[in-house]
This record gives sequence, structure tokens and C-alpha cells, in this order.
Amino acid sequence: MKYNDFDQQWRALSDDLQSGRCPMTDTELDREVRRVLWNNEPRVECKKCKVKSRRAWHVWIAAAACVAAVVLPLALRSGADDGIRTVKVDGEQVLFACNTGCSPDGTIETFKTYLR
Amino acid sequence: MTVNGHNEQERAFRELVRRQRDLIWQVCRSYRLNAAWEPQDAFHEVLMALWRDYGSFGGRSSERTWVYRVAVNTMISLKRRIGNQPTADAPAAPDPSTDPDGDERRHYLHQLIDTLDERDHGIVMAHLHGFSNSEIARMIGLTAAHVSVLLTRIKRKLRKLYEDEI
Repeated sequence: MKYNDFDQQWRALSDDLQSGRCPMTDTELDREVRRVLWNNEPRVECKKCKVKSRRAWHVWIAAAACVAAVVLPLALRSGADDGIRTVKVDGEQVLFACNTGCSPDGTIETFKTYLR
Repeated sequence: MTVNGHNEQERAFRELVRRQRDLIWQVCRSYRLNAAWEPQDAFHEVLMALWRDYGSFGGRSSERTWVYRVAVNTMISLKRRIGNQPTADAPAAPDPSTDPDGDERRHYLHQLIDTLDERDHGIVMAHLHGFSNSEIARMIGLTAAHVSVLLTRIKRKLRKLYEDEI
């Protein structure tokens, strides 16, 4: 027996494709958008160490990293770890890596940020 | 751009994502990637692309059309980048006698659509997502009449493939 139900399946597929609902809650969606904005935002430059960061509040993190690097230069430059520090921003666990560490005058040569 | 202007843009973008979240999700779900990619991963990639292009969205097309176009282009790029493993094989026709609700036949039809070339696939998917011929025409730079002809031709081809097997 042939099932000539192409048109029926065509309509059903169309309904199926259009009926999908995003399963994220508003909170989850906002978090997702924040990650996107954070990763893509035009970079701004730290006035102190000239590090380019993503957002104004990340400039403060960069500045804090400079201070920490001055206070703990050995820890940052020793190569004892990969230089990645963990902080919390807006309740999110944020990894930021200072791959080369700050030089004693507080200049960070490379500064990368990652959201987990 | 000033900080306030930037915040305003972010706020507008957040609202756009909230309005179009279902459409984005539907595109992510319908452009099936390989098993390592969850729709959530694709969703994130689409949001990244939308935000990158957001500054150039000048309202020349409707918001829905623009979001759809960016989402589809992102999914096509992803497919090219990571491959299209689950749908690369020739689809196997289901046995209708064991498929009373038509779920497997619908899945089979979707697989047949996935075998189309990129342009035809894009036209069919936009049509199935509820876009008019005029909207599809604007998306791909053809006339509505041309889209109508193509759609008829593609549908005829799919119908033959479907009815030859089921």
C-alpha cells in the first residue's frame, strides 16, 4: 500500500519546525546574552596599563591584575602555573589569563579573558 | 559611541533576543549538526553572529527576516566548518505500517530536504518556517516569482523521492 501523504507530512513538518520553543528561562537567556555581549563588545583600553579589555568593569579587573602583579610579581612570572586567575563577576565564574604576567612596572603585555 | 549609547544598544539587543528567541531556537534545531553539537551551542553561535551584525541592521528588512537570515547563515557556516555527519548518509525510508503517527515519515522528509543543495535547501526551509515568497526572495536576492517557480520545482522533486519510497 502506498502512503500518498506527502502534503500532510509537509504541513506537519512545517508546523513542527515553527512550534519549537526556546527552552531557556529568561534568566538563562539573559546570562547567554551577557556572555555574548561580554565576548564581542568593542574593546576599551585600561588607562593605567593600556591593556585592552572588553568592558569598563573588566578594565578594573585589569587594573587589579596590575596591582596584584606588582605585589606578587614572582607568583605571576614564575611559571609555577599558567598565569590563569579565577575571579567572580556578576556571580559568573570568570577565568582571566595573564599569559606573560605583569612586568614590575605594571604593564601587562598580553591579557585575555574567558568566560567559562 | 558613548557609554549610554552602548548600554542602550545592549538593552535593545537583549530585547530583540527575547522577542526572537523561539525563531532562533527553531533554526538551530532544524539545521541539524553532528552529534557533538547541541542546539544550545548553535544558539550561542547565532547570538554571537547577531550581535556582530547588529550595528549594521538598519531596519531595511523586518527584524524577523534579518534574524532568520543571520541564524541560517551561521548554521550553514557551522555545517561547513564541522561537517554534517548525521544527514550525510542517504536517508532510509521508514516502514509506514510501523509508523502510524507519521513521525518517522516526517523525519524522512526532513532528511530528504537535507540532501538538497544549499540554495534549494534554504528556500524550502524558509518556506517551512513560514516566510512568504516575497520575504524569501529578499533574503536571497531573487524575485518572488522566481522563488515561486523554484519552490514548485523543488517540491515536485521531493514529492517524487518521497512517494517512490513510501
